[in-house]
Amino acid sequence: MRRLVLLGLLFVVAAGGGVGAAARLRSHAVTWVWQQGSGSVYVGELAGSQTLVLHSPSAIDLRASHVRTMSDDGVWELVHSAKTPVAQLNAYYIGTATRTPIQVGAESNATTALVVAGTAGQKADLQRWTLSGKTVAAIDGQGRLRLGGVTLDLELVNGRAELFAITKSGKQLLAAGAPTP
Amino acid sequence: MKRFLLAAAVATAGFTIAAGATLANDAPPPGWSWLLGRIGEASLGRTTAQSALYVGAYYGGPVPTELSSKKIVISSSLGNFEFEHFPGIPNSTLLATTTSGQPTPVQIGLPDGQNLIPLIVSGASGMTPYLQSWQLSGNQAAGIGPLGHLRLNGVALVPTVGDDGAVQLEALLPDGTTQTLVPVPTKS
Repeated sequence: MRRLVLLGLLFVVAAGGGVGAAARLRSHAVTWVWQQGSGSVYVGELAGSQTLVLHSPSAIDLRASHVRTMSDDGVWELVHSAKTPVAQLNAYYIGTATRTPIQVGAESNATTALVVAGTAGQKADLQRWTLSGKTVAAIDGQGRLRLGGVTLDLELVNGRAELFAITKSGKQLLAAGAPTP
Repeated sequence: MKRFLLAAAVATAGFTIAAGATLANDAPPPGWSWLLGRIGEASLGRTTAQSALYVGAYYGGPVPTELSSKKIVISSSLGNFEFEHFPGIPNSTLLATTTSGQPTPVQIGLPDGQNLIPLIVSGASGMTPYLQSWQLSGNQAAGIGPLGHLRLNGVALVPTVGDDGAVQLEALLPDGTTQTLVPVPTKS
C-alpha cells in the first residue's frame, strides 16, 4: 500500500513536469501567449495586448487569389519610420517592377468611391498631384482647386456664381454668372 | 534495482501522458486544418471549408493585427483587395502615421519614369453620390460630382463646347439652375 501511494505521488509530480515542459514548448518567452518562428521572423500573440503580431526584418509577403482584410472599426493604419515623409501605396504586376494603376471603387458601385478628409481650418492641402516631386495641382485646405500657382475659387454671391483666381498678387474676379439663355 | 526501474517507468509514463495530453489540446478545432492561438483571439490558421488562411480574430472583437517589416507586399492574382468593416461604420479609413503617431500623407504612385495613371477613382454611370469627395471636418468642401464635374462650394463647373467650337463655362448651382460664367474684363 505504501509503495502504491509513493508510486502514485511520483506519477503526479512527473505529470506536472510534463505539463510544464509542454507549456514551454508553446511559448518561447514570458511576453508571448504563443509564438512561432525564429528570433527575427515570427508570428504570435503579445501577452496582455490581445494583439496578433507578424514580424520580419526584411519583407512580409501575403499572397492569394483574393485578399480580403477586415477591420471591425474600419481603420487601417499605415505606420512607418519618421525617416520617410509619406506612406506609399503602389501596384505592380506580380513578381515584376512594372507598376499599374490603383483603382479605388468599382464600375458597378453607386457610392462615393474615395473621400479625402481633413479638418476645417487646416493649412495643409487636402490632396496634391505631383510630378517628380513638384506639386502641379492641389485641392487646398479650404477646398479650392489650385492649378500651378493659381487658386480657383467658385463662390455664390447673392445668388450669382463668381469665379475667382487667387495668386500672390491678390484675388481677381475671372467670370460671373448670368442667367443661361 | 527492480524498485528503481519501476519508479522510473512510472515517472516516465506520467510525464509523457501529461505532456502529450497538454500538447493534444493544441489540436485544431473543428473546421480548421491547423490553428495557432485560439479562435476569437489573436490567431492564425487555415480553414478547411474554404482552404483560406485566416489571420487575426475569427469572430472580430478588440484584437488588433500588426504586420511589421521593412517592406510589406500583398499579392492578389485577381488584383482585388477588399477592405471590409462593420455596417455601422460609413467607410474604411486609411491613415498613415510615423511610429510615434505623427500623421503623414499617403502617396500613391512613384516618380520612377513609368508611364501610367497612378490612381483611378471609379463609379457607376447614373450614380447620384459624388465620385470623389474632399471634406473638412465632415463637411463637403469640394468634389467630383456624379457626372464628372468639379464642384467647389457646392457649385459645379460645367464646360460646354458650342457649335462654333467656343468653350463656355457654366455654373450648375445646388438648386439645379445654371448660370453662364461670363468673363469679367480686367481693369487696365
